[in-house]
Amino acid sequence: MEDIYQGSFVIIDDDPINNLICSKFIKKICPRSMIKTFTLPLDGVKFVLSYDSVDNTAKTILLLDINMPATSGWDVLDTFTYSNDFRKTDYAIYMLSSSIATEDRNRAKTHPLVSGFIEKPLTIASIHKLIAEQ
Amino acid sequence: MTDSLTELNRDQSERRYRTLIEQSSDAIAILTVTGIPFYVSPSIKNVLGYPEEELLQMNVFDICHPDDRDSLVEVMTKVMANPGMPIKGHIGRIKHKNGTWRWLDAIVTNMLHDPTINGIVDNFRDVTDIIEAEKQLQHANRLYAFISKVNQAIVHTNTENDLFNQVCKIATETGQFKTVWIGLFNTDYTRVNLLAESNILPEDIAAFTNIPFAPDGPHGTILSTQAPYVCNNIERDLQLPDWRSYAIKRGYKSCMVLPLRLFGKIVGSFSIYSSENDYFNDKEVALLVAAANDISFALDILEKTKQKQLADEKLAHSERKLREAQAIAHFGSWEVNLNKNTTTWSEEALRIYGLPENEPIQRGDVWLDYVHPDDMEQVKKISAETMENYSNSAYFHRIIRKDGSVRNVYVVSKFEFDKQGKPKGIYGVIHDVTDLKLADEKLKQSEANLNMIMNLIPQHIFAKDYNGRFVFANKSFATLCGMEPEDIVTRTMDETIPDNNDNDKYLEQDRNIIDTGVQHINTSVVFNDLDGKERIFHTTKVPYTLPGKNEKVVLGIAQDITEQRRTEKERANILADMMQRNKDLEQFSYIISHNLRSPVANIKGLTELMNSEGNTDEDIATYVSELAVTAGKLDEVIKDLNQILQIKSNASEHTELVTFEEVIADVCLSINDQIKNEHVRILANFSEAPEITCIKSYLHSIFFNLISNSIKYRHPERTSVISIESYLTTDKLTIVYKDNGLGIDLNKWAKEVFGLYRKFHSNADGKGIGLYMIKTHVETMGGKIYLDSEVNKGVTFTIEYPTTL
Repeated sequence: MEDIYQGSFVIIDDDPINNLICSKFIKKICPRSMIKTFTLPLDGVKFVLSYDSVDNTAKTILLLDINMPATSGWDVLDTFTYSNDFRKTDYAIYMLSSSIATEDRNRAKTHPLVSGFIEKPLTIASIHKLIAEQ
Repeated sequence: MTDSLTELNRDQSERRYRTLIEQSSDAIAILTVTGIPFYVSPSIKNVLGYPEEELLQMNVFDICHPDDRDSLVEVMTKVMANPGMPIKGHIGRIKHKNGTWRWLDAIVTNMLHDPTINGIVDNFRDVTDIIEAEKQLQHANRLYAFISKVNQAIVHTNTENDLFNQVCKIATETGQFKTVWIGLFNTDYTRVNLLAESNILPEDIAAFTNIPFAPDGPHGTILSTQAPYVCNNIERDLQLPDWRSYAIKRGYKSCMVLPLRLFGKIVGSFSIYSSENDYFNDKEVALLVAAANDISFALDILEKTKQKQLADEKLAHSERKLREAQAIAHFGSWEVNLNKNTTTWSEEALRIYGLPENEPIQRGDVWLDYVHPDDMEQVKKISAETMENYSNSAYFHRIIRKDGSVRNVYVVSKFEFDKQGKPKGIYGVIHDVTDLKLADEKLKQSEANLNMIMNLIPQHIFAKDYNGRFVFANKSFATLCGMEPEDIVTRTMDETIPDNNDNDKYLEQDRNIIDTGVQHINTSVVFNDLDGKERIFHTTKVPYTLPGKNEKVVLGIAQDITEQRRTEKERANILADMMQRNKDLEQFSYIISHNLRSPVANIKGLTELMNSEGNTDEDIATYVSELAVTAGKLDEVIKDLNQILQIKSNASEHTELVTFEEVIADVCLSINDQIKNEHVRILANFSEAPEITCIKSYLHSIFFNLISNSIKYRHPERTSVISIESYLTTDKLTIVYKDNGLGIDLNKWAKEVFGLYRKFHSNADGKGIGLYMIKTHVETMGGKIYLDSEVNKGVTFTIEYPTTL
């Protein structure tokens, strides 16, 4: 099978099952892509801010859960916004949530760092769509 | 002898003749054609004073009066034309040797044709005395005519101006004076003003209008001497150069100025100018003075007439005014003549009784016919009393007119006595007060209504003067102060509501309202009533001028809004509470849907993975075990949900009196292991409020969750200490729960700290349901919970229960 996407994936969600589902699906489509999952948002932030993706030709796709204890997905985005180390052009950020509240969708749509909103669960089809957008 | 006798006789006769001729006042002159005498009779000396030889050197035209020269020429012409015929009737003036002019009456005959005479014979005599006498007679006649006409004018004129104009006209026409004028002095006698004139040239009129006069001139003289002024030779005698030159220019040679008097006082002048010198001789003066006196007399009469007319008009005016005033005021007057037993009524009095206005004389006691039957006894009593004592009286009663209408009247009567002190009449006034009485009753009624309303309404009404003294208070206001309205009036605020701290503030406010005239509204005046209860008033204060006085005060109306405020506050609280509950519910459903969806999404994801190709057995095993975990989570959420709904639906569950001690003991027992393991110290003090009526299981749950949380989020570097206290205030029971754990960052989480599935620490195994459950339990029992916290210092929960519940 040929690789259809060269970029890496980072998933930040406090729910480990969701992280498992996401990485399994992504592996099926992009077996060679690097996939990093974090259940503690601050760990994920730390990784993103220190990860050197200079070698990559494609953007790193970040799937970010909204509802997490202590630090929400929005908090994570705030950290990126105010951080000098965040390389905005290297990332395509998608909010990944089981929320069906329109408030969250609208906020995602208007947030300058966010490329889109994906409703859980992540599916093969939604991964294809993600990649096609890059 | 005869001859000698004849001679003698002839001589005697001739001498006698000569003597006669010499002594005669007649004279003869024979003139040449050119008027030069070549013979004159010796008697001519008697007539003209010239000796014969001197006269023979003269020409008759040279000694003729210049004014008579023309007529002399005329006569000579006539004489020349009629030879031999004696021409009579020439009277003219010839200059006497002594310089005077003599009037001569001459008969002139042309005898040129007679060779023995060959001249013009002029036979003449001196008639000067006759002419003078005639002249004086004429003069006198003229003056008498003048006076007679002046007197006619006095009789026939009605006004001063008319009289003056006529007098001036008569003076020049009949009196034959050259010019006359009448002037009036101003009040301080410094100027005289032309009122009437005759023959003053139009261009000169201004010179006579309101002119000042010299004290030593004619007008000054008549004022200082109170007598007429006469100047019989203006050119020689008049001391005023301007006037003299003016008089000469206009041909005035002599003048007389007569004073005109009103009631003996000089008010004007009558000036007369003549074109002859020495015109005003004694006789002339006497007659003119008589004329001036007649004019003065006429002025007195005219003035008296005028004053009487004015007085008459005034009287008529005041009588009319009285009639009108009586009609306007419904005030009638009457007079009883006790001798004749008649009453004279004024028009208005007749109108009041409904009697015809043109029958002022009535029977003395006619008024009794109209007295209202109900008042009759009283009226008769008063009448009898006054008649007995001759006392004055004043009383009200009613009358019934013939048409049946009833009037209220007020009668005042007084006796009038004769010189002997016997009563001769009664006079008085009658006032129709029906309308006044009606108006008065209406006013009283509306005042009573107003008072009733004022005292019925719950609003508190008051009025205060500039010094803060009450000038009015209604019943409601007085009751508020524990007084009667009449007790408050004249008191100050301090004397009425001594405990009020704001009295000074309100006094200043009131003064400002009076000074500026701008109303003031206090939306919230707090005041403790007699029972010490706090009450709130809404007051409106306006500037107000006391009727009947000019005093400005403040009129205020206060409405008790305590209850309104309380319900408003209650309503606001309820509303806020409901909004909060609604928000909570929204949040609840949001969280529930999210937390239900998360596991569902996982199930969907896992099953899709299992259905996809390329799964290893290991993969499948993982998916299945994760499916099981997910199903467990789902189950948990549904259980939580159930529990929460259970609390909410059990709000009316059985309440009982429980002690905090026993509840805390139960909780500690159930988590005894944890407390022991973590060395948690619990300090409880319920001495002030040891017990509470509540749902016991809820209170247990509240403390269980609080203590569990404190242990769960204890600070790793210190021993966990929990303190619990309870105490009572007037209307609530308060529980204060404190720990010294990690705390919660309220800057970040304040809004959602009590939210469902909200977790603020990622390092512990909390579900995020504890605080939500605590809040739900507290609120279900009607309480409130507040959280205060500082990160790394701990939390303080304050729970309040209203004691009334």
